[in-house]
Amino acid sequence: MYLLIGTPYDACVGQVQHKLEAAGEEVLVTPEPLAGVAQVRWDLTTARSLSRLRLGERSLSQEDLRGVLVRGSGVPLQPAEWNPKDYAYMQAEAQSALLAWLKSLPCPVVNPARAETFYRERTLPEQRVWLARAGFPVAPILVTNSPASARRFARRWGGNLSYVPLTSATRYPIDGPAQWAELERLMTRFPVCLMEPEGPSLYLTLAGDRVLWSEAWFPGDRREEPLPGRAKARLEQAARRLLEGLGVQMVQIEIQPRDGQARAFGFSLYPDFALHGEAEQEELAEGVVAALKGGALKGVGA
Amino acid sequence: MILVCGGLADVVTELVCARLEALGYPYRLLDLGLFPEGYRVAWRWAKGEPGGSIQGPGWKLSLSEVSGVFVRYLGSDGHAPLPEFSPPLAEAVIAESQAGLMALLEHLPALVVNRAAPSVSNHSKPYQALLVRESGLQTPPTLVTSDPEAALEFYQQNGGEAIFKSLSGVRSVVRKMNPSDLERLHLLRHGAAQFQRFLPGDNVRVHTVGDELFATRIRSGAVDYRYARRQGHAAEMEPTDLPDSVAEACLRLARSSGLVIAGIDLKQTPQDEWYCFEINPCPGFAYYEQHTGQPISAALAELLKAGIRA
Repeated sequence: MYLLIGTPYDACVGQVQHKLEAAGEEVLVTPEPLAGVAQVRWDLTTARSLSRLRLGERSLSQEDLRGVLVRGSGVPLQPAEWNPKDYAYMQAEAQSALLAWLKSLPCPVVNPARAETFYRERTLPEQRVWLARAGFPVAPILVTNSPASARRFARRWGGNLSYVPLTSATRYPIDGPAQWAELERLMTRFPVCLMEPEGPSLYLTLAGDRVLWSEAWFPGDRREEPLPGRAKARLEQAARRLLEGLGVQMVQIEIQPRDGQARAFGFSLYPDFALHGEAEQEELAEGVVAALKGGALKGVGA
Repeated sequence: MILVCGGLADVVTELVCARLEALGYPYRLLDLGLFPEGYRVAWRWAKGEPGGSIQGPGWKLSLSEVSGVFVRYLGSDGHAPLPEFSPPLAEAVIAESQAGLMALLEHLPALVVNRAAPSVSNHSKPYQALLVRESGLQTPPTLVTSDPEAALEFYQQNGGEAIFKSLSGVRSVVRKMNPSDLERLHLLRHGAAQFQRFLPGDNVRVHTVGDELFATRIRSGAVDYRYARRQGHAAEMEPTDLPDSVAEACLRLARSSGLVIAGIDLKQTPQDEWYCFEINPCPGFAYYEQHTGQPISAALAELLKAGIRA
């Protein structure tokens, strides 16, 4: 039995479910494996760790699980039933239980259950450190509440920038007097995180032993081949080093080609399969299935 | 130069500053109760390493001069009020400010006590229990369940001597189960809870500071001695010694967790068995130092002064 934590609306979950079932494997998909319609009983002592799940009519021991794909945090799905403080508490409790239970399992878990990756989607400055250490070219980042420093930093891009709040995934272009005025107003309240202006992106996704590129989109919906093959090969090697450094089996890296050079922008440990075409999604799902079956990563660290 | 990041209203930050003053070790305080008001920062990440400067009241510090950092992040209630914002917006503004600092400290090439990544294990107590086992310490018999029948069975198997506590770091108070709690077990369908066999004996809090270790014995009739007064009990503290194997396991646990300073909660049973409950990455060691005179803050000050290039 394979357990996929998430919803079938997630292309990754849907494709992996399809692949496993086509291979004759049993699959359970649930966003909330430890509560709600499910129940867990996990006995933990110094000497042993034994858990059993009840999911509807099914009762599963930990030995019945051959692999677990984690695409959700297991939090209760009906926030409307809770007052906000109690719901926040229940979310924290559910995440805590899920992380620990995943770590206790003897089967492969994708991505592996580690607190530092489960709880922290690293901020972009931190991601750039990881990317640079893996060998990706990266552009500089500035965190400042000094308007003069921000203006100096923007000179290399003709006075334009992106403002990226560290506590959200939104990006704001700073490319005119009105945006600069707003940015300077924000700087009176907190230091802002600034980086290169947004450009067209393409995505490099690693899932187990599969490495796939998305198409790049340029203004006017033009599709181009933005990078020569040798540059792509170098970036793929860097991506494999990143995967190894992070200790994960899935990662998606955003690459921004600019002036003939490719720079890594950031990464996600929850790749969005929908950024790839149907055939590539199936390939990625093959990679996830191999990782769930405990397959070794081909070429990692090569 | 040592950088201390925290709020002066926080007793631990206050103690660290006082100790650095007393020892004559120069430091700069980035007061998170006010930050960024009164501070000017320009932190740049280039080629994978952070650099830049912090300008505070009457001083400017280049990050390349920093040998060691002590940090205690504050919640929004530890920050000076921001009356111009609604409470959720004020919280978001404070969170954004602290996120910048957290990003900086995560990869600053200096000793940082403690970085965020190794600290997040504290959000999951059973996750920590698995780390505790790996370090060679004993973990109490524990049941994590959303099954009311399993919880009832655990309670009965332990003769009613069971406690329950949160799985996460939120609302983390230990309570002993009593028969009236059994009527609420059906609520487990909303989410799993953690039950443990109640262990009699003395609580022992161990603070590890680098390779040094300070053990404090706490004698209290309260189930959770941190709230002894609230529960109508007293809590007496004294320095104590640990068996070598337990001391070594505590240091191993702190090191493998990546924590420069840690507060490890142990219990010694009347049968002389030692159990570990959890490891705290942001320990309130001032409380123990004030009651016992153990030189925890002095050990920390020495470590910060020496620094370690990461």
